[in-house]
This record gives sequence, structure tokens and C-alpha cells, in this order.
Amino acid sequence: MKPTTSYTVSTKCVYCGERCIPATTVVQSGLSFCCFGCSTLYDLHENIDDYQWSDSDVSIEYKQYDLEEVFNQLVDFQNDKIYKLTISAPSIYCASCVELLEDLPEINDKIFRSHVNFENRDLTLTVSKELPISHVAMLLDKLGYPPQFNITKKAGEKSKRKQQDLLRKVAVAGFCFGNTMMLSLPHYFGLSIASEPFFVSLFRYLNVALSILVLAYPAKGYFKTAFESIANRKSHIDIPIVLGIIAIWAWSIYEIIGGIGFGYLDSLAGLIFFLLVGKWYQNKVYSKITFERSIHEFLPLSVRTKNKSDHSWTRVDDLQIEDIVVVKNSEVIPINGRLKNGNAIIDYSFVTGESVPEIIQIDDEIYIGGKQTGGEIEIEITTIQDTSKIWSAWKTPKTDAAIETHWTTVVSQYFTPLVLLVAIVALAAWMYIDSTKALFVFSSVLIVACPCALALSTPFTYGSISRVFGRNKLFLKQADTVDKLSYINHIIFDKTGTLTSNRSHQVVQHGAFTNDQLKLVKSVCANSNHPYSVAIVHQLENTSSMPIDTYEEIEGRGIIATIGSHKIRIGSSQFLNALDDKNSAVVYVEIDGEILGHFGIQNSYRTGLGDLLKSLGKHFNLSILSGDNSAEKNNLTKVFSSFKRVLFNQTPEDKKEYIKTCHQNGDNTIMIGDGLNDQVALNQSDVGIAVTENVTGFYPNSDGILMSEHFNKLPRLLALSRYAKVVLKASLAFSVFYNLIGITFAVAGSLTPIVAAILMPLSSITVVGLVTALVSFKAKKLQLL
Amino acid sequence: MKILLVLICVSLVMALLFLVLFIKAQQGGQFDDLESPSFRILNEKNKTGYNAKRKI
Repeated sequence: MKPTTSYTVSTKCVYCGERCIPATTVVQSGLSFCCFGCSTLYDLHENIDDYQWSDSDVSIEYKQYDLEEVFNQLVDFQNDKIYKLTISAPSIYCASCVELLEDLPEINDKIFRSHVNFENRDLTLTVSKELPISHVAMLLDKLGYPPQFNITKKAGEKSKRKQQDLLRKVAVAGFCFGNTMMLSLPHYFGLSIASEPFFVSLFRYLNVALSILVLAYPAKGYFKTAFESIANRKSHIDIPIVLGIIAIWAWSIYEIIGGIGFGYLDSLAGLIFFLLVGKWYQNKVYSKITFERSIHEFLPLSVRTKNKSDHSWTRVDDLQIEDIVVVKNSEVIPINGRLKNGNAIIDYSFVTGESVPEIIQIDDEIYIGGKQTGGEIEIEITTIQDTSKIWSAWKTPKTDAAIETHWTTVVSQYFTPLVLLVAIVALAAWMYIDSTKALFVFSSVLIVACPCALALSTPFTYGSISRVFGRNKLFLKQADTVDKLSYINHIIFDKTGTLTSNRSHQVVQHGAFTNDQLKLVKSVCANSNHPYSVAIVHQLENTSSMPIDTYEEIEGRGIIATIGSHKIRIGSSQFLNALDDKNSAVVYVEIDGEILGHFGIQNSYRTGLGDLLKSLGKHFNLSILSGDNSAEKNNLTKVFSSFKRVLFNQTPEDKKEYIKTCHQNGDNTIMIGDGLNDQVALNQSDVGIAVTENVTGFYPNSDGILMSEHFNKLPRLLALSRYAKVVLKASLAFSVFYNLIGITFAVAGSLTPIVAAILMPLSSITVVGLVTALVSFKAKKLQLL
Repeated sequence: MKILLVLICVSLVMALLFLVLFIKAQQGGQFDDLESPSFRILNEKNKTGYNAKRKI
């Protein structure tokens, strides 16, 4: 479809009816369109047959969603005729995407209604039962919006509802905060109980009512998590917050009922309001990320089987020995079996970490979890396996480290009884000196020593650090992980996909080629789309190429071509009967019947990796665990020479054992891997970070996700987390200092409760300000902001 | 000073009303998607020509 421009005065667009303007008019097969967009849409409608396919052509990835139990999980609503479901399509990008997707009913008349939610990048469809989900998914995929299903959708729904709930809590807390503030103002301006007894008590009791509302609804979550973690004997940052809330509230109630003062209920409502706003904001940043995904989003539940000549679909559980399973290009191998037919080039990197695809001969074994990259293949089932068994190793829950109380919690725990002790001693002393002032001294000690500042420093430090992390595309599951990160002294890397980039290849040339021979190689490879050919052409960019005379590509094996009098064959070792070198991806070159040499293809290391590892090596022990064979060792030592240990041929279990040994040696470990094949190791380490190219990938059991393009920021991110300790100490020192001065004045009896009440919120604000300022100053210094 | 009593009642009721309205709007899904309605306004449904004929 090549647009040509032509123009007649009265031409109207065939598609939309707008007048055609010469500058943008597109004429296609004799019809005029006002713009390229209209011609594309017209093309789509006219060639609707391109968007129809037979059942066996449906991708294995989508077919499983037709199974009844999965279907029932996915749909929001169904009756005899229709069903309604919400599908996530991350590639929705602009207004035109919305228009195209909302026009789906025009493209396929079995779709009745389509509604896009741009913010969530999803669409809600009402579809006739005649059109299965897999076909809807295929249609979206063909249109360029590959859909993503979440079988564990219930979890997603829950988090969405939680966020809405949180917003409601923010609204209620804001309402209470504003009103208690207003009702407290007269007191600040000196309204005394003697002049207006009715209004003073009205204001006070209205405040009490509002504070009860705050505690009963917006603050409920803090109480719940605090009580739960106390019951489980675990420390949690909500515990000191709840202690602070209870202390302020109880004291205010005591003051109000006793007629001593008007309490600090406005500060209480403000505290809860700001805490909730922070939490809501953080959840919003994290809402796009799912940490828990079902295995079956990776491993299909139903497979394409071949009976005589036609294809049909069978559930994995119903498969029999000797059934033939058909796997198409770029699909995941769903079963163990023996190759019957086709070019099997299997990428096992997900399972073993080995980056180079393996070429499988007819009648050789093929294993579950690999990815076919060489066209359609047929596999005969040899054994019936229990799929759940294969995944059980990956499902072991995250091992809980020994329950460890953080020093800030310990400090807070001693803080409250200590303050009470000081207050009581002061009370007793003043009873002796001047009993009229005793109660006043007692109350001002308690107010001035409010644990707010202490309670706020930990959550705000971790919160602001994880916000900086989020900006730099390191997403942590829980803010507490910042604390664990600050104790790390041993970094363990996975190699494939973590230190190497999955996107670019590096070509190493072996053997002596003359310039003319390289020219021949490049000319031949330029005709092939195979990734290895593309890599070789890229490597030989300074070599010129020439036209070729004959060309034949044998899919998954090699190329035969002639240029002038030269006969050239390029391909795998089997193809050329060369010496077998199964260890790495090697492309052999034969010119005029003589094998001249080969090109080794490797995943290349991330740029700047050497410097990155050098700067990490100053502060941490480094190890590399690789699923690859040791052929890579020389390359690796070139990149960085002083690793503590570099281990090859590591199975997931080996990696786990290695981390266990590190723990026994007293190391605090962070495992940095790329997801599925490192899952066990990510789970075993103190902190497991998955490096990924898209946030919608599959990474259970990790504590955080780092987007691969930000991998180079790792040393700086770790430096920032180490800084958390400094920030916490600084804020602790500040509140201790502040409390010492305040308590000294209070004990001396020279601090009026009004001054104390102003100082108290001031101290919280100062601590929050201090923490935020320190973190953002450090982050700016590290160029993370 | 007694007028304060009325003022306080009015202000509390108004604030409560806004709170209830906000919660209603939120439950009605008004804050779920703040972007796509602005795109939808561009999507002309009263097209003439080919597109309109298809719909009949």
C-alpha cells in the first residue's frame, strides 16, 4: 500500500466523508481518502478476512483461556448469549488507539461493545459467546495490541478496590482534619473556658466526635497491621505510629474530660491525613506492577494435538503417551517429549540460564519450559508428567529471616516508658515543692515528649527513599526492603539476562578470512533475517557487499549461495559436517568446499559493565552464578577480574545452596537475577531483585524489580539505601536533642502547655522535613533525582 | 455569639455534604479514568460516507 497524491475539486473521502485536501489526500486502488489514517482503517475493514483464522492457528498462549474454569475466572459477567470481560493491553498509547479499539464492534460484529480505560491501559468488551476469548485475543494481537490476561485477576481487583478505599479514607481524614482545625482555632486565639463555657465545651466535644471518626475509619488500617504484627511477634513500622496515635488521643481525651485543656486532636487528624496521602501516592506509583502471577500465564494449560491430519486442542492433563503435540514458532514447549518433525531450535534460557539456543535432532528429547525458535515442530509425548511437580521447586515460599527487631523500634519501645518515668518522677518532685504546679508539669512533660517524631522518621525515611527508587525504575515490594538493602555486603549476580543484554549480540570471528572472503560472507548473510545473520552483517559493517547469483536458505540450518564462481555455504556445524562444538552458538563458513572458520555469537555484556562492577567491588563482595558453560569464563574475566567467585554450570538448586553457604558465613546477600530461572535464588537471598525489560513479566518471589535500562544505576541506588542508616540516626539524634531540651524546660516548670502544644507538631514537621531534605539532597548528589 | 452555633452547624453540614458527594462520585467511577473521555470527544460518531453506511 503506497500512498500517491492526486486531487479533484469535489473529492470526498471514501471512508469518513470529509473533503480531501491535496496535501494529505491518499489514493489507493482508485479510491480517495482524506488522510493516511482513513485509508488504513478502510483497508482494515475491507480486508477483514486477514483478521479471521481457523481454530488451530490460534496461539497456544491464548487458547488456554477458553477452558471453562479459566474462562469463568476471567469474565466479569456472562449469560447464555454474551460475556463481558476486561483485558489489559499495555500498548494502548494515544487517542487513535482508543478510537480504533472502541471501533472493534465494526471490525468484528460478534463484539457488541468496547470501552477503553486509558489510564489503566485496559478495555472492557461485551462479546457474543460464539466468539471465544482466544479469538478476541488473536484479533487484538493482530491489530498490534497484544492482550495480557491475569488469571490471578482477583488479586488485581483487590488492589484496585484497596486503592479506592484508601482514597475514601483520605477524604474522610481530610474532612476531619479541616474541621478539627477550625474548631481548635478559637482556643489558639485565647478563648477561655470562663468566658464562654458553652462554646468551649461544644468545640471540645465536637473535636472528640471527629477524632473518634478518624480513629474508627481512616486510621483503622494502622491499628489492624500493628495488632497483627504484635500477635505474630514481628516488628512493623506501623507499631510506633499506632503507639503515637493512642498516646495523643488518650492524653487529649484526658485533658478534655478533666477540663484541663483542649487536647491535640487537630494534630492527630493532620498526622493521619498526611500519612494516608503519602500511602495513597505510593500505591498509585506501584499500581501497574504485579508481583504475583500464576505459573499458567507462562506454561500453557491446553496444547495443540495432531490426530492424523487435523489439529485439535487438548488439555495438558488429558494427554496420553504417543500423542503428537504441535508447537509453533516462538511458543513455549508445554510437555516433555521426543521431536518427531520440524526444525527444533530450543531456547532454554528461561529454565537453565543457558543463553544459546539448542538445536534438537529428530527423535531427541525436548524438555518442558524451552521456547521454540525455528518454526513449527511436532513432539511425541514419551512420559506423562505431573506438571505441578515441575513447578513445586519454584513455589517454595519466601523464607522468613530470623525475627529481628530494628534498632529504631527498640529505641521507641524504651522511649515511652522512659518518658512516663520522667513525668511521674517530676510529678512526685513537684508535689513536694509546689503541689499546685505538679499536674501542669506532668502534662507538659508528656506533651513535649510526644513520640511522633520518632514514629514518623522510619516510615518517612523508607518512604522517600523508595520514592526515589521508583523514579529510577527500581520498584520495591515493601518499603521495609530499604532497611534490608542497607545491610547488604555481598552481591550475587546471575549472568544471562542480567549482566548480558538479551537484545544485542556480539560476534567473535575465528579463523583467517581474506577481505574478499568476508565480502562474500556479508553478501550472503545480508539476504537472511536470521538473528545470527543480522549480527554477522552488523559485525562486518565496514566490508562492502556484492550482488549474489543464487540463494537458498534451509530454515534453522543454513544458507547455500553462489556468487560468480564461488559456492558458499554458511550454517550450523551439523549443516556443514564441521567438528561439533555444541557449547556455544557458532556459525560455520564454507567457501568452495573448504571450511575456513566460524563466527561465535554471544550475548554481549551491558555497556559500562566493567566500571559498574569496579565501583561495586569497592564496597561489596561480588559473585557471579551462571547457568552457562565455562566457555564464557575468559570473556568474563576480561570484563572484571577480581570477583570473589565466578561459578558456571549452576542449576537453580546450586545457586540456592551457594547463597545458603554465604549466609552461614555471615554475609547479607542480594541476588540480582532475571526472573524465572533465578526464582529459587531470589527467594533464598536476603533481598532478591529481578532485572526485567518490561514490568509485566514473570517474577515471583522477588523483593523488587529493576528495569534493565536502569541497571547501571545500581551502585548509586545501593549507596542511597546505605544512606538510610545515616538519615535515621540523624533524625533520632534530632528528636532526642529536642526532647532533652523540651523535657528539661518542662520538668523545670517553665514551659506552658500552649507553647508545648505548638512545639509538638513543629517537631514532627521538622523531622519529616529533615528526613525528606536529607534523602533528596543525597539523591541529587548521586544524580538520582 | 449565639449566631456561631448556626454557623458551625452550616459549615459542618456543608463539609459533610461535600464529603458524601465526593464518595458518591468516586463510587460511581468518576475518578477511575481521567483521560479517555477527553479522547472520546474527538471520535466523531456522526460520520458520513463509508463509515456511516457500514453502521446501518
